[in-house]
Amino acid sequence: MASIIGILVVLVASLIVGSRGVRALRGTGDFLVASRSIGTRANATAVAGEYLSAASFLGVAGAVMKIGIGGMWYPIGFTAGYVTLLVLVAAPLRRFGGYTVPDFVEGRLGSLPLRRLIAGVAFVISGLYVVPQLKGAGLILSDAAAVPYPIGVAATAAVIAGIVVVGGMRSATYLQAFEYAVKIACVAVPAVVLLIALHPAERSDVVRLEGTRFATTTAVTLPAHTALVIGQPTAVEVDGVATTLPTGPVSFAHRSRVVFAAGERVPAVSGQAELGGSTWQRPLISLPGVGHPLYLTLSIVLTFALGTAGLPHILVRFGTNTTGRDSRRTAVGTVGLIGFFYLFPALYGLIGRALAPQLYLTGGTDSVVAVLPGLTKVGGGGVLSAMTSAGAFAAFLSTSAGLLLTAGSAISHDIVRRDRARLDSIPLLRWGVVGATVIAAMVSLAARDIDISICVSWAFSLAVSTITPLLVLGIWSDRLTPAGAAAGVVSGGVLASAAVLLSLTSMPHAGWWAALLSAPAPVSLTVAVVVMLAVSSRTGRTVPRSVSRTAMARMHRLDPVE
Amino acid sequence: VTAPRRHRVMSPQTRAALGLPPAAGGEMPAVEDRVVAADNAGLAVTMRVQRNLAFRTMAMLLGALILVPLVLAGAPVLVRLRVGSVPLSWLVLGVAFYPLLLLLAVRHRRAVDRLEAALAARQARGSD
Repeated sequence: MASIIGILVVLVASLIVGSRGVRALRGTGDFLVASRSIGTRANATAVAGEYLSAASFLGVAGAVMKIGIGGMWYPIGFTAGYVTLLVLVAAPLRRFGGYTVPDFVEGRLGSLPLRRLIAGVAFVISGLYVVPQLKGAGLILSDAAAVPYPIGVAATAAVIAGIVVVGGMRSATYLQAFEYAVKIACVAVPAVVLLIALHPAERSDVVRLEGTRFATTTAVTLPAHTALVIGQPTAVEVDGVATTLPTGPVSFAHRSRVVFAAGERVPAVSGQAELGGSTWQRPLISLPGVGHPLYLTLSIVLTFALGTAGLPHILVRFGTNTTGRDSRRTAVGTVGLIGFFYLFPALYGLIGRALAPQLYLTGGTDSVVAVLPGLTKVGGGGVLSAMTSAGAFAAFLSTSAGLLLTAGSAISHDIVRRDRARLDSIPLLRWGVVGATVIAAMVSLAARDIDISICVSWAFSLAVSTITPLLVLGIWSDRLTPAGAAAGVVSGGVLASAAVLLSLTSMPHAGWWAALLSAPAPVSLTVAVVVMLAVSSRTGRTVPRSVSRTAMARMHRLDPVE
Repeated sequence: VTAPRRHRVMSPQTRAALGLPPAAGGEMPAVEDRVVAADNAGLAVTMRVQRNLAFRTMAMLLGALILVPLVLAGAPVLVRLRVGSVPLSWLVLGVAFYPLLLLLAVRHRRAVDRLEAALAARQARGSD
């Protein structure tokens, strides 16, 4: 009940905050980049609000609990992404003066077909990112408030699209900055209370390095077809019948209620690291059945650290600052704000491992942030749970707002518009957002069973293999040609997507092939860069010298002295 | 008979202010762009300085992101070390990385701001 109230409060407050951003909109710049008038602090808060999606609010804690300490590398990669953005992209992209990534591509390389190709890539990346957000919002509404899933998805999509359609980027900015405040409060306060409420015995359970034991007598309802690996003979009650599970693998064909006594060791789920065991404790990313943890860690961290600079919905936010210097300040502020946020999610995973090991056995680790506060004995657990639910909902809202704006502008501003000499019409931009929202909501309704983390990691793989190399080479080298850019984007994008699809359909057992399919970025990024440079050097100087030189001068010129 | 399409005519400066590409046909860069492009030497110096700084910070960032996993993989004994009761590797990954990333970002921003201010001052002197 408290959770519904928390979510409703966030929803109503978001509508009020978003409506405060509504101004008369006269042109593309008002709608897409809030007239370039957002201050650095407000923009950094909005970038952080937009970036901290459900993958951060719920997924990081779940990853730490499920795969172990190595899960802490994910948020490090997310944060490092803003250092890359600061160093390689922020100021030159702002100084160039376009609105969207396709604007940059066309202005820099002078090719309309390339603009459309990149707009298509930007649309796919935003779509892969927004579908799991809408899906998550629908699920949380159906869990907390028993709202039917389709209605939850449709209502959330309608609220966000309403705010963005009416108020454009300025309303989205206010909304996102507000949701950052909601998220930081809703992740930090319950985490601190949980830490303080730990008994000394629980505290030593949390930092124990050898396996995990049930702190209290724990009843677990195992899903059908659960296979466990028992480390030592364990006395349990299975569906009311007392028995002892012998050492070795045990499988449960049907849904079973298993009661473990306090002090018994938590068995491993077959194929996964034992909760708190030596693989779990290893500070590297290990995915079930893949192996090669060092390669996975390096590759996944690299994907996030470089891929963030290729996310179209993040890049457009950096266009809302007034100068290149300001957009650098925004990037630094974002590193601070999201770094502060990421101090907390891992705590839920670490404490959850000791206090709620049943989530590991049932495969529910992604709900540890929502469930754990309810287990605290200090009282107020209901309020704390409501806070984390509200925070998760805020994450869905703020991330979707930026994504729908970007996906919408990819349709209206970048693909449909034929005559680039004319200004966009505001109604066309608004219809673009409506169209993108309808598509995203319909896919979300159909995609109820799709894993949130797969969509988001696909989006990152795609960004790091297409837009990141295109931007970095376009900004720092004057050799790039439209043919080279197109060839590199297509080969990088095809490789990254093929790896994701292959890993879904025919994942091999362990070995290098499995590791490569799980984290393809080192290969797909390298191929994209090599193809871009090689094809560019063979297609010669197809960009007129005046266009290329003017573009370089614009990006690297100094800001006007105040 | 179709009527000719109507175009809104704008000066190059207005187009630049609105973030539009140069008008089709007339490849007339905005005045500001022409001034900057005329100063090719200045641009080359600015780009070289910016590129060197960017290279240095990226090397430090990627170096840290590559070295720390290598060290952790090569020395599993680190997993057993504790600071107080908390394992050292938890503190490194869960806490220590974030202030270091912020420090790297702040230092880079300051260095670029300083260099650009110095370049701007030099160009202003040169054009007097």
